[in-house]
Amino acid sequence: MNLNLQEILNPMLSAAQKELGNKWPDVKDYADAEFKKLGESLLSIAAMRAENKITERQAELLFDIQRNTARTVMLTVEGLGILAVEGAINAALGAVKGSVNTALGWTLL
Amino acid sequence: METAKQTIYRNVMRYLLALVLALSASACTVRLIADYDAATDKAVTALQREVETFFVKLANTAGTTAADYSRHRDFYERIKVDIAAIEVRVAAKPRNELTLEQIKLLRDSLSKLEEIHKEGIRDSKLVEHLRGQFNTAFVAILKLELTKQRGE
Repeated sequence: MNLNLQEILNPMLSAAQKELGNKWPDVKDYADAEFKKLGESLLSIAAMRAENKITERQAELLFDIQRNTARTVMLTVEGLGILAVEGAINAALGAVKGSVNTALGWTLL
Repeated sequence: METAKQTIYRNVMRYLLALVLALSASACTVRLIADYDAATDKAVTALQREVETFFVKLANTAGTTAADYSRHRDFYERIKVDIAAIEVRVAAKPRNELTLEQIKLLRDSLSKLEEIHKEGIRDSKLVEHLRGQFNTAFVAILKLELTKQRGE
């Protein structure tokens, strides 16, 4: 088997970074660790099939599970990004709370 | 003394501010994603424990008749009920689409696990691989749920 971890990890991380844009720094640590695990898993499926420990059908099903897991991790990364944006909006609103309430003449925030 | 132009400007700004903030603010804070749900956290954690127990048993018996699918039908029946209950709970909460999608993916993975099992478990390496995949998925689901606590 010619595949190595770095060979599959770098394109995965680049794709995730591109999708997430400026939210990437907020989730980088988590994403790095999780994509490394996913890359290792992909190599493990290939090795088990090569050693005839699993059938071809099982390898396909394992790959489907792997894809579901990768998507699950990406959804968490996306959620953490949204929560980071939400935190920034709330911090911004909190910073202008006093002046906005004064300008309006009643307590909105 | 305030000019008419300044008064109009101030009123327009008040209106815009009130509109934008009223639309985006709920109880003084913006919520872009669902709040933390302790019941979901508890149910997902319980399911993780059940799946983990199953993998430990299966790893110890891989390659023997004790690992046959027919001996583990009860497990699959139980987790189908568990995951369906979690899905209903998660779907009932507003702005919870990300977690709902994760639960649907987990349901699909559990169904694929059953298919793999029907084909036979010949080696404990396969079980360890599956265990790692499911643990990664459970950690991801729980990490998002716990982060919804927003440091509260």
